[in-house]
Amino acid sequence: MSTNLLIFAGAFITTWTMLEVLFKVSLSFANDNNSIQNDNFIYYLRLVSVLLFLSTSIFFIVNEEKLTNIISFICAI
Amino acid sequence: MKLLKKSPLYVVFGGGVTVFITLGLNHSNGLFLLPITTDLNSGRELFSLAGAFGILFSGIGAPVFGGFSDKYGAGRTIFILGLLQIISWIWVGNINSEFDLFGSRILMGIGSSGVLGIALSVTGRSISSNNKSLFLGIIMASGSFGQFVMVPIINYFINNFGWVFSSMAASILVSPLLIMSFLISKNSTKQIFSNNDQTIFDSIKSAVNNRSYKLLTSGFFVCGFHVTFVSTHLPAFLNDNNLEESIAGFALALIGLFNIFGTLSFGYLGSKVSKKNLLSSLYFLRSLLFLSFIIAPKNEFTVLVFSATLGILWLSTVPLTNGIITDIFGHKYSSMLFGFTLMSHHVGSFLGSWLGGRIFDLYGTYSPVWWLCVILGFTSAIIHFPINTNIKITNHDKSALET
Repeated sequence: MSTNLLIFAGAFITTWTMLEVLFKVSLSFANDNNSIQNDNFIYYLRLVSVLLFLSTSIFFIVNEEKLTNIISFICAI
Repeated sequence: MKLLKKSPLYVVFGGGVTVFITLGLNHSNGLFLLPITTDLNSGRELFSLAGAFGILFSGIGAPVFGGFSDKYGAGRTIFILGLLQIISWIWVGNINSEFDLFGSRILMGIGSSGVLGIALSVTGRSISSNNKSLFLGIIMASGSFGQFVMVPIINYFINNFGWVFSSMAASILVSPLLIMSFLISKNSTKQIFSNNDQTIFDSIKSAVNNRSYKLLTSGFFVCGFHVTFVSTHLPAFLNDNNLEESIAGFALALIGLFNIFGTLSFGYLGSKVSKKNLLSSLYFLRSLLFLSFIIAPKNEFTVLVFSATLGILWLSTVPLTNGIITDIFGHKYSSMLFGFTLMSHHVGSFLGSWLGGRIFDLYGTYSPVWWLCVILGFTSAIIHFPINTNIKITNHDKSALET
């Protein structure tokens, strides 16, 4: 479980770094460089990413059997 | 309530949920490859060919339903498409022969045709031009989020309850489309467009004579090839490389997750930087990524990094492509014109799905197709450079057309 979570976190952080670099490089070609607007956008994007990362990590942290039981229960309903 | 009904967010929500469900379930098709081919005792080529035909019909249906939506309203069109999708998923659960496999896939293709174009066009019409690119990105991001949510659910269903139950569950999951059609119907036909006197045929004629539109349509073919090849064949490819079954589900989910950030970022960047330059760099980066994946060792980490990075570049092409079309041709027939572009995308998807299976059955490896992905990506990057987005064609002014 912990190894998979580490791999997932590693992949997530590596790719997120690449996205930020891509975003900053692309913006350097922008005609109207509104830095406050850009910073706000990346701030909210980071916020969403943290939320999604945490929600995804639940799959690794929660005991798989418990999760299976919950999903089976929902399916039964 | 009246205020809510007049709000453009009402349409954005309806469009977002529609794309969320349709794209989410479409991207889980690859997970059915191994169980269905095992049950039918057929090769991968047959499943790939059926999927490819579905995609092809989806492409053919895109401009048809796009035109229907432009003329009779997006709500009615989405309602019909929703019904077709429900029937097709029920049919998938009752596959007993090759006829059922092809029939259900083709019906699913028709049912999902035009959904994306309609949702994007309706959103584009209801949002002010300053934020348009970002909202188109949000619609695409909801599709990605659908992939992120739906793929693991379907993967879980298949692993625990079998593919028959999973397809029945999918038919229920797709049913909210019928409700969303009413939300979307608050828009579309009663608007005053800058090109209001233009007929459908004028619009098609001006598009066919426009060099930038032809280049854009050709380039979009590559996007379809890449996306469908990976989503259909990646699970089997990972299985061939002795990786756990769950990695395939996570890889597809991670593509969906990072596609959310990708489409939002490129949607935002589209309002700041030249859209065609962004498209060129996007295809160039895809090629570099495929090249790196060919060379890199295949383990859990490299697969997940590849998937996440591909996710950033996955459907980020769509808001930019749609944005260029509306920049040049205006909004009135944007669903239909984007539908034609989407048809090219789906021809690429057809080849990506079918060729992947064909090459594997012939050579026992996907390597030639990965290399083809690299070459096509570089080609598409070059194709997008000469596109001219500064010409606006909003009426019969033929002198404005590029020859």
